[in-house]
Amino acid sequence: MISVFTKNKIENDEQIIKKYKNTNNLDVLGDLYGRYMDLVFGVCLKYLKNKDDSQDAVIQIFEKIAVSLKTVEVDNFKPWIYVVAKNYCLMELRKIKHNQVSMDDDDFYGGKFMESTFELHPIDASDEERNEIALKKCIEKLKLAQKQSIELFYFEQLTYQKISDKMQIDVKKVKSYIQNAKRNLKLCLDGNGK
Amino acid sequence: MENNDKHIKEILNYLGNKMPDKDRYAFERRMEADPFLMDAVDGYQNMPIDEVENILLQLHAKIGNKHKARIVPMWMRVAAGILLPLGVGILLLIDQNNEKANLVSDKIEIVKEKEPLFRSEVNAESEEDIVELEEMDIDSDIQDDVEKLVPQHKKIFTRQLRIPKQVTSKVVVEDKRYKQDVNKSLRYEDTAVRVERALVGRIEGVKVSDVTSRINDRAVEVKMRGMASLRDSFSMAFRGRVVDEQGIPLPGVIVSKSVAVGGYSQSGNKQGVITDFDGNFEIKAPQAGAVLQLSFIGFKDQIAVVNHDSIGNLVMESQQLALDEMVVVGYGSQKKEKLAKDTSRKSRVSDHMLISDAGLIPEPVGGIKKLVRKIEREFKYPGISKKDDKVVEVKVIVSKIGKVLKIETASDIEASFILLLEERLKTTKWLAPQINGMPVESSRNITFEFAGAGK
Repeated sequence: MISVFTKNKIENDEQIIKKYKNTNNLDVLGDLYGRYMDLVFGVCLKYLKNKDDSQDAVIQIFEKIAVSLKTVEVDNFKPWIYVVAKNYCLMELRKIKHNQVSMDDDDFYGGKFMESTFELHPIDASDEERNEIALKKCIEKLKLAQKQSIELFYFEQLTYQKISDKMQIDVKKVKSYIQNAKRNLKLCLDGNGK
Repeated sequence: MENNDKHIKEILNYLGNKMPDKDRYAFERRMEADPFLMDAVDGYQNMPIDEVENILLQLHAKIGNKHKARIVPMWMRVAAGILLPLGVGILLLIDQNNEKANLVSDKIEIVKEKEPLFRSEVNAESEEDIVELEEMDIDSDIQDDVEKLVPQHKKIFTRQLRIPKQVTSKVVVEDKRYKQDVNKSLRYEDTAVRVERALVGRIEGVKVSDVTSRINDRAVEVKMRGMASLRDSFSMAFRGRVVDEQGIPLPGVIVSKSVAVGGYSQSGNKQGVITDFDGNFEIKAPQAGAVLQLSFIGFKDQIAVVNHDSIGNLVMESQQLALDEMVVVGYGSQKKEKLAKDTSRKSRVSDHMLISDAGLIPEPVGGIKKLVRKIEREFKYPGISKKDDKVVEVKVIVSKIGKVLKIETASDIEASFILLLEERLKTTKWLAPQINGMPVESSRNITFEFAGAGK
């Protein structure tokens, strides 16, 4: 009877993983997976471009993690499930292309290495934490279109749509400029540090 | 759970342009910082929004995330736990105060007869309703009388007695059934999910999303996409008819599954069937999309792709084997074999395509006879007396993809009626005939006999 009331308390992801490891209860894991399932479905839609395959993928990923979570140590579930989902989709695509799988489990479930790729880009950090001077310096070095996009987005705080109107380019283009600019910025910032 | 609703709601709001600019920007900033979210939004971009929620609900059910649904019965269980001892207590009270009960029983005798089973059936769940109903259902006459007769602490008992009124008891009974159903369907749901999981592991080539289950009144029905039923060893029957170029049915044509499709390996046992006297055949294939091979002596081999349970007409193209020149040489003492060798025969295969319209006819899904009968029943021909019949001949032209392009009729048919008929024929799904697996445009004549609508 008491469990009825404690059950409603919201547990964090890592607590649930622990609980799952102890109990092997799929419902527990389902609870956790449910929190990110919409995102996983979205990612699958992006890569597989097909809603039926994506639905399959969502279930397959669940079944995969049900097994792998028992052995793999996961510190942070969200980035981990993102990497797993993405890898799964890429693997599916590769299967279609080459009719074979060439990815071993270590690769698949990512280690610490994969998780670190999820780390926050310096520019996305909150304003206080940003190293403005270094950042500004690097932004100056960017190509014109990338620089403009970055400035409009991060400093003028315009939405993609507004930027696309202003620069007379497609929204997709805006996004890719920002992405590329961020990559270049990262390279530039890392270079300064060394 | 809150957490997970939030993602999708935000994403849909964002994609549906339902966010003020400020929120939009905030959301985009979050996307930039969270590649997971960014990818997901990219994914949903090309997806019809109204389908998303349904699919997600299905997925939640599949991974066994039924906590939302469980909240209700969980509460009931709590309520039941509290009320069950209460109910038992009441029954004990009744026993102890049998004498006192007799005092009031005169008043309620009639009512009790209407519901003779009430006592034995009373359980914790209905008790809950009883307590709730008490307030709104005060039968003041009885209440007053009873209160006079029964001392204070027996009040619970008086509530009990007032319940067997027709209306309230009905509510109780319905509620009881409803609650049972909830529990039952939950149980079935669990079973269904388990069956689905078991199936996926056991049968090769079956994916989870192929399996859907439905909870019926009493049973769990598990269905698999593209497959007729579980009993049929997961195959579907496909029916078709083989004709030659003139539209004459060909009996004895060998129809076999030719290519392995979708993970099903044929592994040697090339199952085949032959057509019957009217050229009809029925073949079991694991799923739609299988490729059939048709072979018959004197005709070129054909392939056909099956997509519906009825394939329609398949046209065989004749292969002309002609005896050209024949030289017979006779020598006095030749052996029989030698003689046979010396008889030379040249064959020439015509590579000329000879296809007349006659064999290439479109077939409505469900069969032509059924369609004609159905339409004849639906429509009455205007302007003639009820006793008369009107024969209407229609030529239907069907495109490659099975759409009715147009219909042609004799000039004496009422124009409005033609329009009506055309509309009707267009709502039917048609199967275009195939030549070597390629659907082609075709037409056919259909004769209707319509009853008159009366003058």
